Amino acid sequence: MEDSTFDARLMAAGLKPSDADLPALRALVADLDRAAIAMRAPRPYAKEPLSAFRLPRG
Amino acid sequence: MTAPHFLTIAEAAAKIRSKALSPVDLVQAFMTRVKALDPQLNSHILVLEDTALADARKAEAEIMAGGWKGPLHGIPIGLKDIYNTKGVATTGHSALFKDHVPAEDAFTVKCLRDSGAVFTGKLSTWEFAIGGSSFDLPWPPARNPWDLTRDPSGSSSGSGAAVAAGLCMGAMGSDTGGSIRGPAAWCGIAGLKPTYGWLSRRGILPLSFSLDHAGPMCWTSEDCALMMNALTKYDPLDAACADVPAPNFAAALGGDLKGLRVGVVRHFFEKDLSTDDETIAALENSLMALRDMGAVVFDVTLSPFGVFADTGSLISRTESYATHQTWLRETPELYGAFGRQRLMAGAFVSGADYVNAQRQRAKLVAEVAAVMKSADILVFPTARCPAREIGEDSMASGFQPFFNRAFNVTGFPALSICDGFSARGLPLALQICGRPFEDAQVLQVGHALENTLGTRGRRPAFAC
Repeated sequence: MEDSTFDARLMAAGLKPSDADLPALRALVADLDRAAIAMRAPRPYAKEPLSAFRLPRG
Repeated sequence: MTAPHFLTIAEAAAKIRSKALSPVDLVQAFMTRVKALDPQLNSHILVLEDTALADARKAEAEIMAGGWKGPLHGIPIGLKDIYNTKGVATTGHSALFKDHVPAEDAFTVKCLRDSGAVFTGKLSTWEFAIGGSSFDLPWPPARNPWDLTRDPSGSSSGSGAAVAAGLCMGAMGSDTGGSIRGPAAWCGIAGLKPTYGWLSRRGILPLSFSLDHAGPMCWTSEDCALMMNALTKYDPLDAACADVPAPNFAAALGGDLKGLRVGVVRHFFEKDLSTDDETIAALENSLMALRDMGAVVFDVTLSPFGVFADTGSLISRTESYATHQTWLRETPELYGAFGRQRLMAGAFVSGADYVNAQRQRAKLVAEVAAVMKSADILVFPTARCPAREIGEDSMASGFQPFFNRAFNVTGFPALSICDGFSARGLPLALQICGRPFEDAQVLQVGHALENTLGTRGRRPAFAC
């Protein structure tokens, strides 16, 4: 997602950071957005799931 | 003769067992030091003088009656203030939890208590193990005993500072993205992030459930091994806790390293993140020592460090936001700025991106496991540089000083040891990583290197 949605995402989360928090928060979110984009690489459908939900035995 | 407060746990335990050292005298000596030094170091949030002395007297009576429980009996231990302690405030170094008094001990605290350890204090931490060295919290941030103008790193900041300064013999830390190994590195001690799931996290204030690790921080790897012997108890009430039989970690320290296959993740520090020359020189010196001990040293390749860091950040921020979201909405003013900002950022990660990060994590686990079929341990520096000025905060600046996150994401065990000193007298550190549940081998290598490199004879001038 682009930083232009920052305010909408903040509102959706119900968070009210102070004005003083905003520059650092924007920088942290930009870093997470960059990381998220890097995670969106195509993955072979047939190899899902790579993460498993496992019930305990006994 | 070594002063009692600078004995290792192993040395003090031998003296206590032979009745040459009184636990009461030992704990009293530590209390005196805390009063004298901690006003400058800020490693303690709460000093447990009365209960510590009472527990020391009890330990002494038991030992005198022939009831020595083992190497931790009568040993002064500090707890990062996210470890619940029955009837004693556990604050997370936050105004939000200023009046939080748990009804029971964390599982690991109980393990240590059962081993006869004496708890001397609740130690400073970055707020809720995430906030950074902050000046807007109810207690000041811990400082680095090697240079009080420098950051001890965190989040187990008080644990690192107190152990290095000889204000407790060992401490518990926690490690979600490097929070044991960072302060171990910058404070010049040994800190083990055990295999994920080997130590219970029940009763430790959570940050990120799938990345959180409890672990010991001590002057030596040997002392970490002694603490691991007490801590590796199965807890069925921590869903991640692994029911794996534990070896005698201390007994496994002996033996030679002949034939040990050491993989150097060279691209982490030569290509992925720039690293200072002294840190690299100390690593090369450690590699030479390993070769001299018969190890076979070669380079290995993993994904770029940034892939591990991105994966860890997305998971950690999302999980920590899930824990803190109600308080962040209702009482954000009770957090310090660093903690509030970092925790709020997790609200911005989508569900799909969190799942993508977990998928990436599974690939990284498989990748590291494959590389470790040909390498028994992996090594690289713990930090890119020695301790930075306090206030020159890595969280605010975006500068990431550490190579730690890779082994939170994979859950493999990782130990930081001191492998030298900079020209300014600041500790340098090596990270030693092993296969899951092979923590004993990691400690064995750390122990051998500490003995060979001779770094354990030097303490901070502030503490001497």
